[in-house]
Amino acid sequence: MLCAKIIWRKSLTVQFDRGYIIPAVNTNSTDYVQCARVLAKSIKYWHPTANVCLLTDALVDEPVFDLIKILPFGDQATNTQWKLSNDWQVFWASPYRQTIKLEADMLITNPIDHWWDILDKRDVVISRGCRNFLNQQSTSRQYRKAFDQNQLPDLYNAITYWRLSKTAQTFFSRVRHIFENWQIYRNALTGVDAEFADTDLAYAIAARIVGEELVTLPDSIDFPAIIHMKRYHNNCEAENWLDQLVWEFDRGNIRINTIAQEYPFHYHEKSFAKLVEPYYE
Amino acid sequence: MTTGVLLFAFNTPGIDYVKIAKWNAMNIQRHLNLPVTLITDSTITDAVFDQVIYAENKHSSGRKFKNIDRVIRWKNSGRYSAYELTPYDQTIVLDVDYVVASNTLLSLVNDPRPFVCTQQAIDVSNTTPNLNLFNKYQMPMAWATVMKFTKSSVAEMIFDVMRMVQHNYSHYALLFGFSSTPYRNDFALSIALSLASGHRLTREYSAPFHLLNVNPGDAVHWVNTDTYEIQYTRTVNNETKPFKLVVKNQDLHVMCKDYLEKIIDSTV
Repeated sequence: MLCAKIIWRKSLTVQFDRGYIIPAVNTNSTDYVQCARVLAKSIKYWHPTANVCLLTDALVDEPVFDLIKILPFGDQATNTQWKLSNDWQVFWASPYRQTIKLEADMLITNPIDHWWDILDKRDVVISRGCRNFLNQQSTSRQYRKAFDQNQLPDLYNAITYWRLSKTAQTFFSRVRHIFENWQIYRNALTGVDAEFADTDLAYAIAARIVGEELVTLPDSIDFPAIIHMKRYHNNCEAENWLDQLVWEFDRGNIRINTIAQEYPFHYHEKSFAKLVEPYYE
Repeated sequence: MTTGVLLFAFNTPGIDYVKIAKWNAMNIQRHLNLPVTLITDSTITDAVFDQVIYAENKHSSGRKFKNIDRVIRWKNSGRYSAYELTPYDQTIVLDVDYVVASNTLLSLVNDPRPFVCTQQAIDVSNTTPNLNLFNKYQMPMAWATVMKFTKSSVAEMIFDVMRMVQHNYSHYALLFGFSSTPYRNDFALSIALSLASGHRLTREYSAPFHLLNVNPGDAVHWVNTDTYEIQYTRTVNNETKPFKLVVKNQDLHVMCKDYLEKIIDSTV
């Protein structure tokens, strides 16, 4: 335990008390840094003084971010376009004592500063379950078959909070171990044959090992939670929701088919970042 | 503050809505002791109504119901005009096929909310799945069968938006993925409630009781005053079997209007 305390105290530099970190490494096909930039703008729309950090693999000139950090262990997925393998580095890269990690392809559609009041009391919180564009809990299990088959918690890494703590270090060390030893974990799971780990699955396995109750909030607290725009969550016929649903930008909020989005909006279709960005100017 | 009940009755070739309205007005007075105003395009000579307001309703639409082998015509548009037409400060609007057999609706009279409607329906035969959801995205449905409103900015806005939805019904049908014909007041109200509530789904206006529906394909018979026998079929172990249920002192939303007319003919 002493050793663990020394490791993170020595290796981690706290620059700010609280802030948001957005991991984003561009691939050949996707401009994740653009997604992160639009997300940062959406955070600043509601909270102009919020501290937002981009975690990426190369220095970029993006003034919307308060800090830009380079992956402390480098790009762990240089030979693939599967950049999720870098996710575990957020713990070692974060400049904050208390961090909220947000996936890049999201938008903040309402004030979220009240989250801190609840999260503050925990070491680690990972969002659980997701919602559809009606703001209702999604009942689709289409994308969660591996979770159900292996009785893993229904976690979404899209919103993850931690404070510098032993629990957080244990959790992220385990996530790292899962990414770096995926074949071993994959062989232990039923119905999983993916070549690389995906972050939600890695978090769920890590949560099961560390203790789900240590890294989640009780069900009665309905945040942090995301609206997920994947097809089956929303009863869409089209694979791409932009081909079927109508979106509007209304003073920082996104409305889908007239319904105001009350939770962070995980738009999933990366091209949406380019469409919506001008509205934050 | 004046309080009364508003009924809309526009006869179609198949159904005498005015006859149903007259019968129901007597039920309303017996159980609720409230005056009833009828909005219609028919000539009324009975004294059963407190007031009769003549209005036009040229738009009829046809609806095909499960278990019924013909198209039912109805003239249900213009419900939004209840706000402008009502002579009361506080109004309960009922579909004429909402059979009042108890004083349940009096709970709305004392409800301080400016607008209330039924948002939870139960199907007597328990054969209709997702009764309280509509469209392909499974939005929660509000039922326009029972609405209560006071003259207020909130109610006015809800009816204004309902009118806007009705006038642009095919747009909303396309947007939410439901058929643009026939026009459904329930759908227009559901969408209006959401739009008028800041583009959010809300249960803020939900009535404190359930709507008990009798399906169009079911049969209803009069047993005695305020007691009805409902006959329906259900599939049990892949076999269609007949069932019956007797309800007493329970308001019913009787969608099999043929049977309502038979009841009226045999009892009045």
